[in-house]
Amino acid sequence: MTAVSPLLPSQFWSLSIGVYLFLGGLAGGAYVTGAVADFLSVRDPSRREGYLATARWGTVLGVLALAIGGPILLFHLGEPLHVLMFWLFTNFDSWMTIGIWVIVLFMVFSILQALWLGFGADRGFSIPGDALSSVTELIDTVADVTRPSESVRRGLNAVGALVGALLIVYTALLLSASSEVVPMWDATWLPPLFLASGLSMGIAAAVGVTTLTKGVTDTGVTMFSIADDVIIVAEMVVIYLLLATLVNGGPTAVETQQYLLTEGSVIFWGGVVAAGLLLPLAISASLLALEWRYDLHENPRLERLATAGYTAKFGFVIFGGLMLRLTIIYAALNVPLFGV
Amino acid sequence: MSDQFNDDDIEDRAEERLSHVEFDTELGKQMARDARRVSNDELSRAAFEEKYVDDVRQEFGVDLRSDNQADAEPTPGIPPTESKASRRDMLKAAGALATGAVAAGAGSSAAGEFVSGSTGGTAAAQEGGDVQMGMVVDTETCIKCLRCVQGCKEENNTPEGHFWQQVFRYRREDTEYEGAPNEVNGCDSVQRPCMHCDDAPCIEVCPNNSRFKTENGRVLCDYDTCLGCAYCEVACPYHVNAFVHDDSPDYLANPEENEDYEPILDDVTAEFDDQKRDEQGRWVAGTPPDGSCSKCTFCSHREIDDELDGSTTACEDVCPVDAIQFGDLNDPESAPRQYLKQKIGELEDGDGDPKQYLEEYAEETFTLREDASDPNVIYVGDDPSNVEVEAVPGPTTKDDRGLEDEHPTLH
Repeated sequence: MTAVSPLLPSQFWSLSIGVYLFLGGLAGGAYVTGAVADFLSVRDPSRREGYLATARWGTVLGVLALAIGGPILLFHLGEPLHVLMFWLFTNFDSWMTIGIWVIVLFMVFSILQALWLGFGADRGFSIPGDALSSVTELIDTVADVTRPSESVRRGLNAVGALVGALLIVYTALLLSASSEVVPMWDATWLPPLFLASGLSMGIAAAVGVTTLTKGVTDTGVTMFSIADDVIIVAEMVVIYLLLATLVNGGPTAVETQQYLLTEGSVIFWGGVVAAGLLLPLAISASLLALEWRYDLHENPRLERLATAGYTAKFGFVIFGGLMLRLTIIYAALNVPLFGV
Repeated sequence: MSDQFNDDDIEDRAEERLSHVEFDTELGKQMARDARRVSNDELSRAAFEEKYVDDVRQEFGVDLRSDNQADAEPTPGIPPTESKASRRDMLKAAGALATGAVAAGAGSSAAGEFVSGSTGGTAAAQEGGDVQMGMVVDTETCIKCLRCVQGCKEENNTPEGHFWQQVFRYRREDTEYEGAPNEVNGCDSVQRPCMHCDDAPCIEVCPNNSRFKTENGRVLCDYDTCLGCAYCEVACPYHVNAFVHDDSPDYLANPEENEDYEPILDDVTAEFDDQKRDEQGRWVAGTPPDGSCSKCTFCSHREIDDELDGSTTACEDVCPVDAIQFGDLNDPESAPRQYLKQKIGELEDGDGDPKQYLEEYAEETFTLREDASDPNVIYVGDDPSNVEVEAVPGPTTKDDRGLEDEHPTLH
């Protein structure tokens, strides 16, 4: 046992930060997915409604995830009120500073797109009237007054998607800024790992809700699921590369890799790899085989089965994303102050 | 190289640097010109001191020829309301001016030493740059008595379970020890204050600039703005940061309640009840507030408080074997540099960068985790970085001293 490094990163940043990183990745990924669906709605009018549903859910999930994640982050602070001095957040060497402003930008983009896609003349969200009618009417009016042309709105959505991708990546860079202290937070592989996982979770969340609400017919679910599969495979490659980097690194890196494969095996092998990567791939493969063999439109029972299958797959993907971030926090070891 | 016969640059610098201070600009300019003459061997050091000793005493209340100008009593006739800040401004400005003035020379420190003392260290005008407060810690001399740990605890009144100075005791696998692990000659030790790094990771990651480097090289936290986000805790390779959620332990205020505890300092808390603010009004010392991330300040409150000796730290003061030497690492005349010179040897470039010791005397000196930072604590002794080591309780424990255990997470 080395002499000096009794402290683990998870003693400073633990469950709340892990959950926040998860929600940040989910928010960014959902928005990017929604933006892609928004563009696809123009290219494939036959599925317009399905894609627009995903586009709306992407923005809504983006706002919701950060609406939960933001307060979690805030209450983790020792002095939350000091955030009010927002003009002090100017140290752009810090990924926390960059992240804070990315979050602000992201919220602006996602709220605006949610407003334009879900309210006003199109009544995308179809929120029922009655008790809330006075409020929704006001929001509808604001949406109609502020809505730009479709080309401008989609252009802004593309910019928003870039901000969403940055939101995902920043959650990794926040950690990997300390890669010299915590080898697990590898500066090369953590950003692509979180990007892949964030996009995968985003597809799962946005398309998953569409699947739940609109089913699998003419919603592009299969196509998004295949894209998700490709990303999952890429994520597995990055995880392998991260492990390979750790095993070829210094003593603490090797110790981290061994910890992951032994004591941390339940959360890593079980939560991340089995439940979060392999199981979704297996479900997806089964569903593709089912769709290849049978015409789902002809058989309502099979269609329901496919809906349940995709929902389950997406659920496992999201669960795996949470497990990944908790693993990255809880299995991280510090380089000791001295000794080997 | 600038023209040694042309002092126009001094004129320009003087107007720029001395315009905002209340002291005699002409005196500053004249001294800078003569400092350049000293550096060019046109004027002797003694003559320089003789010429200005009275003016300097009259103007600033310090003795130009003294080694301890910071502690000089105010000269009669100097208004008692004179602010320390303005005096410092003048001293720093004159130092900076003189630095420019002697830049062309071979590094005479006459003018530099004139400004010494204002920061508790010496010489803003040494060749190679600014003041960088730091420590030389002799791990060979250390007797692992933990007086530095206790002295720090008492002086800084740190929260329950927090120790801004630590002494890690260990046995190396490659060493045969004469004594048992709990004897002085049965283990090695490493003291760990904050390293006040040149490229401090805590400063880099702090989102709202609450962590900053002072003019004399300390890394401090502004408690008025610190978020308590713990990013500094995550990023620091030395784990010196601690999240505050407790008050200081009762025994500090009431020593009689703890039989095992015997205070080292005369008055352990009286000096430290208030917020200590620097010249810019930043709350950088004093008992840290709940929710902030605190750490060793190199006893910056001593520098802030006119009645305290800013040239030392509590840990240095109480060390019975002088294993801790605190001062300006960039000043060849400072205590840590002199210690290195006497114990280890001279640098090829005697006045050069103190970090040169790590290269020229690699077997005798070391720093910790220099791969992750650029620390300003230089250790004397065998580097334990790359050997198998085992932690041992050491000859003296915190319990022996009546101190509480370190909080296991510092959080």
